[in-house]
This record gives sequence, structure tokens and C-alpha cells, in this order.
Amino acid sequence: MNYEKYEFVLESPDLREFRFYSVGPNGRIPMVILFQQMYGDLYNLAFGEYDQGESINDHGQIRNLDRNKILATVASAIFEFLNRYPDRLICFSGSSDSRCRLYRMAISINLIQLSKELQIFGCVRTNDQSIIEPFVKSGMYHEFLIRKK
Amino acid sequence: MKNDEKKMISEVWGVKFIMDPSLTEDKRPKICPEKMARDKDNISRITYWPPELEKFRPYFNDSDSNE
Repeated sequence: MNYEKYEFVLESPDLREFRFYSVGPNGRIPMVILFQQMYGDLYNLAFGEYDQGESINDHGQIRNLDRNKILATVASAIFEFLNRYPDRLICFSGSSDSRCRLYRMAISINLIQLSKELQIFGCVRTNDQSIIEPFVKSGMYHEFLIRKK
Repeated sequence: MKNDEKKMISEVWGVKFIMDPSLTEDKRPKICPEKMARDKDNISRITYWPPELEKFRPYFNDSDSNE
């Protein structure tokens, strides 16, 4: 991951919560990354601005012109989480087609390096169902699944 | 070391992770219910899980298929 990242990230003792600040033209914005259990060892990933008392959704805009820096920081947190919990599977999706495309591009650009230590899968939708396949750059995925190799 | 003291735990791809004992579960924000529901619905629609992921596959019965 050769992108610039935020250098310091706070983590909770159980690694299900990470905090850092996005810094840019709109100031210093607190960010949070969450890993929340869905089923068994399957965990949902979400990240966004942290506003005390508010839940985290994935509709928020990234306002500090630091999109790639935030995504690279999130990728590092995924690795940190899976390093502690190698038997867990992380899933995430984009809230819109453009957000899904952004995630696909970010993974594709870094696929060689990410694949050294992680297994990445995408979900392909057909009608009302979907199947999981190993991530390929040309895949039109709406959901993504990541585990440690 | 005090219980509330922060300490650096690891470094991943240039990011320094610092453990903060004050980030406890009771104060943790939640993923918004709409997103969680959408992602659970997406998971429930997956009809094929590769063998290496089969152990993560949740099984739904009729009463919770729309969770």
C-alpha cells in the first residue's frame, strides 16, 4: 500500500473500534472505523465521521479531499484486525454504485500487495441472488469479503 | 503502567496503532441499523459460498430470513 495514510490511529483493546482524524481544507474531522459482528465470525465493516451519539453509516461524504488516504488507513485497520483475529471474515459493501466502484478500484489497484496476506472475494449479483468468487479486477462486485490467508 | 495509558501496539504499512483503553464497548458507536440490515440482507441472498468460506456461512430459517 504505497498510498499516503494517517500515521496515528487509536484502537480499542478488542480492535473492534479505531479512531483517527481526517485533516484537510475542512479542518480536523474525527473518524471511526468499526467492526461489528453480524453472524458468528462474520463481521461488518463501516467507517465514517464520528459524531458522538450518532450511528455510523456509509452515506457520508468524504469532505477533506483525502479519500485515498482514508481508504489506505482503513485497509491498514483491516489488516490489524485480521492479524489479531485470523479466523474472522470481514464483509463490506458500498452504499451506492459509485461507492462500490470506488472500492473495486481501490482493491484492484492494490490487489497484488493486498493478496500477499489477504484473501479477497467479491459477490456477483444475478437477479435476486449472488455468489461469492475470488476477487478479480474485472468483477462487478457490490459486496466484498476479506480474510487472512 | 496506568490502566488508562495509551501504548503503541503495532505498525501496519506505516500506520502506527496505539491502544486506547478508554475506547470501551459501552461507549462505542454502532453501525447504523439501515446499513446493517442492508448488509445482512445482501448476505442472506448469497447462494454460493466457496468451500474455504463455507464455515462463515450463516443459515437462515423462514423466521429470520428478512433480518
